[in-house]
Amino acid sequence: MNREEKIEKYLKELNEKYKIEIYKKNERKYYLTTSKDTAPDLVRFIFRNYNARLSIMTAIDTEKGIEIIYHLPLDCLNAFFNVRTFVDKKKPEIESVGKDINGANWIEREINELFGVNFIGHPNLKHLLLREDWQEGLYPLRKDFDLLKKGKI
Amino acid sequence: MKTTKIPIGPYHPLLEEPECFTLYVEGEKVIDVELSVGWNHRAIEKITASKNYDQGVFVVERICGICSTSHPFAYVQAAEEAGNVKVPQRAHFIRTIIGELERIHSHLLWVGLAGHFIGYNTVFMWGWKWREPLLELLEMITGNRNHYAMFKVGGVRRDIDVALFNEMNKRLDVIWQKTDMITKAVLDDPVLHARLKGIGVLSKEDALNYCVVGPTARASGVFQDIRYCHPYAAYNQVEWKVIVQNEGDVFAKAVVRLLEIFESIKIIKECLKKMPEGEIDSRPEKMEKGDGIGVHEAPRGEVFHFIRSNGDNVPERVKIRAPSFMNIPSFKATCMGEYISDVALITAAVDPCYCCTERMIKVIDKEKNNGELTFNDLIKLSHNKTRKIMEETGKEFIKLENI
Repeated sequence: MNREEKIEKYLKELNEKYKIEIYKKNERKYYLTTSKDTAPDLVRFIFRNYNARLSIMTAIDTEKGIEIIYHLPLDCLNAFFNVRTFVDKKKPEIESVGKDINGANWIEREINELFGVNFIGHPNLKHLLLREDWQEGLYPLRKDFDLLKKGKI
Repeated sequence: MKTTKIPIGPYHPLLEEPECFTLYVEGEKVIDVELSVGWNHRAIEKITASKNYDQGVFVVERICGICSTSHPFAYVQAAEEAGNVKVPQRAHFIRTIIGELERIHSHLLWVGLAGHFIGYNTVFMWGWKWREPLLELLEMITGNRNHYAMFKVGGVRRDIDVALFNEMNKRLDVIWQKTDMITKAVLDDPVLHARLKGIGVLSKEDALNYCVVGPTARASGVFQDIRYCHPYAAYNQVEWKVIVQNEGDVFAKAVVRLLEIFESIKIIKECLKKMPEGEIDSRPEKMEKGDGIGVHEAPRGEVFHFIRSNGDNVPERVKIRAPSFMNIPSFKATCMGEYISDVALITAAVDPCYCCTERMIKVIDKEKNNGELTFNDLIKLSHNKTRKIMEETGKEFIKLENI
């Protein structure tokens, strides 16, 4: 089986197992959009079964809510699977993958403090980059963050 | 047994960046490690998202001084993918050459520091001495010894003159020869075998679960090199091989780095031979809407940049991940059960410079008052001890106030 067939097979398998929307950016980058309930399961599935690595997670403050992208490179296939999901801005909560994948531990802490997303089940969700007495409810990378009203820096 | 807490850092004469490791030790054995970063958070992600693409390259270049080309390398790739910008072939080759020159200088720097940490100062002198001609070479090509400012979205800023090719080949030959000497001296030394082998082992399972990258992963038997797995620039047009070792200890990490220097020299020489003529910059005028991912194998591992472009000249979001972000958490797996004196070496093997730990020790008496002992407390303790000795030997204790 060559590279293209393998990727095709993986995407088909994922499509049957989970409800996802596939967007192919180019030959190497695939974006899989799904709901926030299935995203952690999907990430764990890709990580365990397709020999993938968790490169990092990106969070972006958008109009539709806080967008979280899990970047999973498949090193033997020269491809990136990017699992994309949205969490509600009023009650940002999603299940943690850091409890199973150690590599996601720090980045979940970072997203938690910079965007205020609560990762349910994370073993140690305290501040990573900001100081410990940083003002509660102030999330510096959100769009509505006001520099003039910032807490102690 | 009593557990003692030893904080290393956050500010330390030898560290290039402030980080803090708290070791929990029982006697000499480390039983737990607590890591904390963010002592010098510069909010570069936020700053980059308010600068245009040309300024952004300038900002990300300042993230790290040693691998100052890695971040722009990943950044321009991410921006090019997001904005659908084409890059001329010659620019790809020049980028590859700069990236590899930087890898050689970074690995030589590490070899020197590692030698210094274990008290083998000859290696330190050698490593840094032969790094110097390389920095001069970079100055000839780019105009700067560090912070080369060669990259821009759509190409590179400067061409490499044909007149320099000869000089480059000559210098690389010398570096090959000298690195060969260092490698043989290091790898055949029985003392180093005894000191480095079997220490700080990172198993393959842990390496995969911690998602470590770069030489740290390759020394643990993980076949993972971004240049090979996700080829970019000119890496798929030249012949080279990925160095993988299976032991996972400090020695394996040293071997990987030393042997990679030779591969880098091979890549540069082949690039010089195969470099096509033509433009070096495509001069993009418009960025398209979209997401882009840029990865580059920096000396320490994969650098990851994600850019969301909204068609403007300023990116909407830039996500930056440096390799140490993934490598540092693996200390939790490697330091456990090791001796205190080895921790410095194990942490250094990942390549954030860490040693001279003894100078930043804070002593915490957990059983008695559960507080940290300050400098004055330590002086008081010392006075008490002197007084005790004086009383035992029958001599008169001189009070400090009476002097």
